[in-house]
Amino acid sequence: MIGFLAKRVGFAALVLFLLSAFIFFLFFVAPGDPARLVAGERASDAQVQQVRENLGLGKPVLAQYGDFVMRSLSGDLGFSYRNQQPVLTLIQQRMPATISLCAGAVVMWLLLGVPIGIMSARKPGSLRDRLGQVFILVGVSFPSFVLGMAALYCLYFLPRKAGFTLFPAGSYKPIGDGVLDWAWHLFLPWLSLALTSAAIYARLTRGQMLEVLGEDYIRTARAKGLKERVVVFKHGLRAVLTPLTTQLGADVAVLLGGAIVTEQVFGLQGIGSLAVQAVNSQDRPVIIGIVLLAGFFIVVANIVVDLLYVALDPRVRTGAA
Amino acid sequence: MPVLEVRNLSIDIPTGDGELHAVRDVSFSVEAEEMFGIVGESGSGKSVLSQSIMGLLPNTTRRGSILFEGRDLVTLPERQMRRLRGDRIAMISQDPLSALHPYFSVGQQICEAILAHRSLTRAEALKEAVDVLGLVGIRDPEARVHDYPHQFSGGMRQRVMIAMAVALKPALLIADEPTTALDVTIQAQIIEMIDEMRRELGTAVIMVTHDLALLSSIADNAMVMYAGNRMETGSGAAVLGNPDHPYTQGLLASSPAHDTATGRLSSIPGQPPSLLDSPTGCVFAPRCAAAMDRCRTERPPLRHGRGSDYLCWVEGGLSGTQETPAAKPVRPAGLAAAPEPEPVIDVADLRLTYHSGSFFGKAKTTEVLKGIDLTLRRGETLGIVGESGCGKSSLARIIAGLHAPSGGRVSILGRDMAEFGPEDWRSLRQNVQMVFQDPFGSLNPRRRVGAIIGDPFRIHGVCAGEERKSRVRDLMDLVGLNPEHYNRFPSEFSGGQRQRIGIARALALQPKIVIFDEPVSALDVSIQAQILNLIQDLQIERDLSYLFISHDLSVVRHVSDRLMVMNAGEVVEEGTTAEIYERPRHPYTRQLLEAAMVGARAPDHMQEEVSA
Ligand SMILES: Nc1ncnc2c1ncn2[C@@H]1O[C@H](COP(=O)(O)OP(=O)(O)OP(=O)(O)O)[C@@H](O)[C@H]1O
Ligand code: SF4
Ligand SMILES: [Mg+2]
Repeated sequence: MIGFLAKRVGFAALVLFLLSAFIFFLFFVAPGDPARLVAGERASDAQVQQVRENLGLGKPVLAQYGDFVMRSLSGDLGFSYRNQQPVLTLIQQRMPATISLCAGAVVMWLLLGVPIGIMSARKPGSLRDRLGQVFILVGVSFPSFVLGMAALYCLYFLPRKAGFTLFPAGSYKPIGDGVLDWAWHLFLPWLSLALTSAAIYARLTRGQMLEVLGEDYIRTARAKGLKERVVVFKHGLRAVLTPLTTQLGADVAVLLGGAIVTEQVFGLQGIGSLAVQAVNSQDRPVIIGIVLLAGFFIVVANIVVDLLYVALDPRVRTGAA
Repeated sequence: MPVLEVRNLSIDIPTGDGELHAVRDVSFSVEAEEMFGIVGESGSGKSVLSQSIMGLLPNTTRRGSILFEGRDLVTLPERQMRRLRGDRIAMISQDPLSALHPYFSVGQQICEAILAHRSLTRAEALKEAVDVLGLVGIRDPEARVHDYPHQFSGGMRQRVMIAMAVALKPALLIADEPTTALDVTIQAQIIEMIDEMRRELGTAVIMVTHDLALLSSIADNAMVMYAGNRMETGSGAAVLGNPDHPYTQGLLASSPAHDTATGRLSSIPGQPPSLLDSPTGCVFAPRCAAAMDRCRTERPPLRHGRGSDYLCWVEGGLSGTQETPAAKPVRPAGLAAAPEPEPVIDVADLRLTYHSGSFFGKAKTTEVLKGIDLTLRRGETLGIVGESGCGKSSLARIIAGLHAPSGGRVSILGRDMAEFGPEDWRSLRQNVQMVFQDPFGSLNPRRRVGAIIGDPFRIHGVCAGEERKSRVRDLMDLVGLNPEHYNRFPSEFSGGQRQRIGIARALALQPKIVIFDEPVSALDVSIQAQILNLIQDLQIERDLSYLFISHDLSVVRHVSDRLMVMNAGEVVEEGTTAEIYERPRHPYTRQLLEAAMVGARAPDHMQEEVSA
């Protein structure tokens, strides 16, 4: 177990290292002179040269990369070219909004998708199932931003036209200021980020559940005289958790992409909007910092999924094939 | 009072094609401590009947009554039915590998059953679980109770299932093919276990199976089902030893277990009917040799026979009127007298090792074949027996050139495989053909049968167009398929017919060697006999040499000249079939034979009747 964990962590470190090298050299070969960017349009050549020295851009590329790695390891991701603030500080300021957005969206799509999938699978062909199927169909066939806009229109613009505010749009309230207020402000962003995934999870849950409910061990559970509720929610759901976990591990990676769009739509000051600004202004240290951060989260999420896997499946846990 | 009394029960299942009449007008009763056997071919409605007694088929229409301890289960509300389930009526299902939940420990699963019906604490329930695991012969139950199903072997898991079923001392235990998925040596132990339990706990047992030999040795009473109908009911000895119904008689005669000489098996022609129709007369009429006009128009009456009740218009059945063709054609050359024919397959010290292991992890090696020597001579059948996982199929795949060995020598038709050039491989693909177990899985469902059988002609560029068509039709005729079905899809054929398709395809290129890998294991007795006869006829007609792989000793014995017994990748014994059966030398062979005998301990008089 410890060995397994050590192996996974080692592998994660390797992935992050390769990612840092890749992104660093990518920017090194990219056109454009960062020194001029930092010094500003009207700076003289001498000033630009000065800036170049200060930033260490005159050194050979490998030496620059070495500096970069050493600094990063000590937690210093450099300074933004744009406003000279430490990258770490910038990221730290934006983190709470993005984490709130992503975590809330995951919880919301699980709470929506999994129960809908189960309800559908319990009585295939029933009215409940057909409603569930409509939800799935709509969710997976419209692009998520269309669904987001539709949700925004129904829950924000329509009530506003009628003269009241059902949910606010376009602001973020820190969780420290009150959980309810926080959730109320984030509800629309969550919904728009979660709807498509909720449909995908409903479909996945429904399919897996249908298969599991046809298994022999479910018949065994019924033959024991267990209540139908226990059969479905204990024996059935338990078996479906594993594929759901796998899917979740893969989705965390793409979640950040969705968050960028959602933050733009709702004007949230999160990592996503920071990334957009940084790209627009060619702010290399910030971009590199965000990429590394995203990589870090994805790698950690995968380790967590692997650990969950081990916890969930006794066949892995007890070392059998 | 009987524990269970089923009266005129009919079960209809709604399907996309219409109502399926899975069980029709079935009546029987089971007393306490009785072993009641239900036999019948696949699809005859055995499982539907037994699951319906448990109330596990919610979407079916049931007519008639199922009286259990005085209550009618057909009309009992679900809540009360649930209280009976697992407590008074328990079930053991066919496949222990899939019948236990993989994510809960066996203790949790047994405790759950106990706690669903008794108000005990968890600790008390766990103690009961340990006791009952000990009862079914799990060693060190205190420790093993916390293990998960995958940590037990197939036989052990079936013991766990039995433990779970008997934990609450039910009045009725329904075992639906409890040993079909297990190896022969373990089958016998499980049957003995169930037998012991019912005597100890006074439980009535309904044993569902398609294995006649097995039932004849243990059942007090038995019922034979065919297409949802109860054809014959009575004492086990009478129904399985001295049946009165033409169908039961045909079924017994088809079983290779009852054939001592290597002769032709008698078989029941044709296929079971579709359950969607409701025939006016006897369901067996299209296949019955004794059928009269009346059989086709009026439902047969229930007659009281020598020891059983049976549904038939004819009194006392009709011994000897089944399709029993003349004795097996004699081989062209007497095997013993003539000089030994040349070997077509010669294998020496064949080894196969798999290496597995991850990028980081330690590599593991699994030895699948540990030095196999084997010789197959022209015109001969070599039977290979052994339990699942002993390496039979790997061996076959290597000989067919589908897999490379890790060591040793294989020569086919006198040429060493290690020195094969492209031309040799080509001729190997023509001369050596395989027929597989699963007639469903090995045929592409979206291609027409004619095209499937014609594939080898196409791939090897032998012939095309009309000539190919006509040769395919000849092949279909040869294996007993109607050539007019050229354009049908595999799904429109029954299991036996699909196996004929597989054989036709294998014979297309006129091979010299055919390897059969469990060719009849998925088929019913009456159909199995048809296929075995076909295989034997073709061998003589086309001078073929066979490797015949099976776990079923009676089948192997019936077809083979020589036998090879494998265990864990090694040949433990080899010799002529008669030698091995009469004087097995290796303990493992003896164990296999004894296990098969538990099933085949049929009454002596019947053995005589059939071999005469
Ligand atoms: N849930 C179901 N829905 C539709 N048809 C079914 C269902 N269960 C069984 N059948 C059909 O009912 C018939 C009887 O099936 P059953 O499983 O009882 O046969 P069996 O005698 O147990 O066969 P086997 O020996 O293969 O287990 C078959 O034609 C089968 O296809
Ligand atoms: S009733 Fe007729 S068809 Fe049916 S089994 Fe008897 S003899 Fe054969
Ligand atoms: Mg069955």
